[in-house]
Amino acid sequence: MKTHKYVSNSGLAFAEKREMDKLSRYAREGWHFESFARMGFSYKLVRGEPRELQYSIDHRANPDEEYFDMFRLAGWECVCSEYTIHIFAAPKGTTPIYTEKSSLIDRYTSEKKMLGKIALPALLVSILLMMLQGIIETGWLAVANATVMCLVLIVLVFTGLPYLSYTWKIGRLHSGSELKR
Amino acid sequence: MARNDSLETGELTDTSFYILLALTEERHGYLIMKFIEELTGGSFSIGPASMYTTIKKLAAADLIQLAEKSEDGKKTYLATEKGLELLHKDIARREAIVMHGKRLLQLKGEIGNENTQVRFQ
Repeated sequence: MKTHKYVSNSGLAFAEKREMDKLSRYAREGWHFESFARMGFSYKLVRGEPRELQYSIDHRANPDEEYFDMFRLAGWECVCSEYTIHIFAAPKGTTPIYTEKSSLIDRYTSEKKMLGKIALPALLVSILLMMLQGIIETGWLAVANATVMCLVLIVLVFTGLPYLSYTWKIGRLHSGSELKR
Repeated sequence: MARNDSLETGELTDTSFYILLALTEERHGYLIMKFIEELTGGSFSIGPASMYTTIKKLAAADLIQLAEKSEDGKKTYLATEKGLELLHKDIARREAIVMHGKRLLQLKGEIGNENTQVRFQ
């Protein structure tokens, strides 16, 4: 019988709730999230008993004992920690990990800042390389420049798009009332 | 972009308010949650991420301080003088809001006076 399964991760930064709901559905069928795989593009699921679970993500740099304790005592077990990303699971009906707008805004703001540190330089470098590409007409230098530019653009997309997504999320929280209090 | 940091303006969010209230006595994270749930009859609860973030913010603003660790090694906190002062101020602020609301709605006859009973036919 298969004991592992890999399921693709369609983009945590953009559709967090949808991805967490996906993990819940798999848990209901007995496939439990164990860790990230393929450089974060997939989830590794392990066979187990079907359970009604809900999943949540939190971003926290340098989490301490107190952080994990607080979650555990509230019913949220940490199932996976990767760099600053922490995935928690709890039985259905447990109080959500965020219950207040301002702490959620804090989280999105710190993630956005971290992404910005990479995205903005990447943007500047991309522009620079594009201008260079215009000047260098042919030859190996043009090919080399184009290659580097592609790499930088990939970095830009992977950090820039989430950056914009967080900017939008923060804007929505400030104006709307997605969470009470 | 200026963030609306209510702690700076001297206002407390409901979450900060209840945490400070809980910390009028030395408590640690889990007991704070329990205390608030019992106090509000389960109608107000704080998630662990919001709790952790808010505790750190209150500590950084010197409204609560780390007390000695409890017997089971958990970090406990206690409201500071500054924190208690802010709590009193915020209670007064909220009382004023409620009073203004009640007074105005009473004038408009939309809610009854506290002393009169409303009878439904």
